[in-house]
Amino acid sequence: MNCKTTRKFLIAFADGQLSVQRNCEVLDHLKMCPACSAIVDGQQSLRRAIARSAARIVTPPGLEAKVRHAIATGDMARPGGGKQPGRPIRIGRTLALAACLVMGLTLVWRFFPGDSLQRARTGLAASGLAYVDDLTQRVVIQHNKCGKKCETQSHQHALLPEKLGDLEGAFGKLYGDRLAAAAPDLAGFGYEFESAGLCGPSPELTGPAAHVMYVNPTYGTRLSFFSVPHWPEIDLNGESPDRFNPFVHAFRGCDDNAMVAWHEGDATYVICGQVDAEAVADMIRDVKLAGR
Amino acid sequence: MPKNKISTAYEQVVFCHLDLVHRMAVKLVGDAHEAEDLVQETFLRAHRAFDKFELRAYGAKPWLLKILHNVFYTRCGAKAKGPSLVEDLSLDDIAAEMEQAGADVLDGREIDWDLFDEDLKAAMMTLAPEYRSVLLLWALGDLSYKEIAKVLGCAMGTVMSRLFRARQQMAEALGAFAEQRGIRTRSGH
Repeated sequence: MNCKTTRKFLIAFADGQLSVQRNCEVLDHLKMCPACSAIVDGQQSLRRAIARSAARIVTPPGLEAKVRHAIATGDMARPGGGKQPGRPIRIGRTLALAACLVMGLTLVWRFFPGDSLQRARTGLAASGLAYVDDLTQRVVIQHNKCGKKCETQSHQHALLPEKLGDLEGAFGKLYGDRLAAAAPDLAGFGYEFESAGLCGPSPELTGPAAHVMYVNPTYGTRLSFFSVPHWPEIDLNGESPDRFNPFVHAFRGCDDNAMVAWHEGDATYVICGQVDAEAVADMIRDVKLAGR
Repeated sequence: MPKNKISTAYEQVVFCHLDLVHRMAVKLVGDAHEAEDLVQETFLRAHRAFDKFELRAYGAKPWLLKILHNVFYTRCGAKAKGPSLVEDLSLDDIAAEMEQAGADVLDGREIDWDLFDEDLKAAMMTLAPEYRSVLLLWALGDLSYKEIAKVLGCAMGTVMSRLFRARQQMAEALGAFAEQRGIRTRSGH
């Protein structure tokens, strides 16, 4: 290996992240190359310096007792006295941004005539969000809107049951054979069922829709599970990386929401949330294999 | 067992990471009192979720650090899964950038790091939260790229690019400090 080819691997080598064979190849080069060795030394010594700096930090003697007290009582002791209950989980900034985005879009549609999708693009560009594509932005916007409802009022639709196990039958009753809805149990992945609504990600494009909302109480993240009548336009966006095939398409929406989607019979299923896309694919793999 | 009682399993598997979580918290927020708050909330949340936690080969450390980071991001209002501004870098991109950086890459043999401790802390606090957290997970957490990706909820490519950028920024900041002070060598080079 020469310097040019070795350089790609130097940082991963310094971090111990290479395979055994690649490691040996880089090592062989470093024995003869002071310049590349210096780069590795620099990376490793920076790491050691940060670790040494942190090692000087001493855990305060009373902290363990405070943590035990917090667990025992559910109240956190603040330094200098006073207690506060565990803070509520908030999505906060993302939802506030989404709310501003919706307001911005409304203003754009009002004052700028033309095709509605073009208006959406203009509004999104003006908002400064990383633009990916129109349809996945709509999914994220709806997801964020409903997430805010879960926090501040209620997302649960009055016509739908409040138990996860009763939902699929209920959607079928409402929409007959026009919509096959899925409401999987994701508790094994840390996601609890929160509420169900009839809000779709793009009603004017897809018509009626089902929306099941899940929440991870530990991390404060939410996951939306939309079921809509067949929505082929979503295939035009995003990508289908090999690691997801043949199950799903994977997308990246604004605010780094991952999205996976697939078609089954007359329905399209779209899942959205601030969760790693591979994790989402793992969660819904069983749902997909079950033919739902 | 009563809900608020600490089990033996929790003690052995989670509580043993108190020092690491505290150090990470101090480095993340730069303030001792805020760090204590962060630590308390992290362990409280971990305890509440412990019955759903599955111990795997790599232990509770990545899981606990993930909780810490989510609490941190919630409190500072930064994007937990961010940023969409930085593209994932491939190994070729990294090599190309290193080629351009040339003499700006720090030579670790020439820097006496003990003299730089305050500068290191200052440089760390100038980093964006997502860069600071990936750097700390790399340096303190002793985690692989894959484990860091799990903690931060992003792809491995994102971890590599953030780490690369964070280290670049640290090298630039520390190089500037070194030049200002005229401190370069520990022993002749």
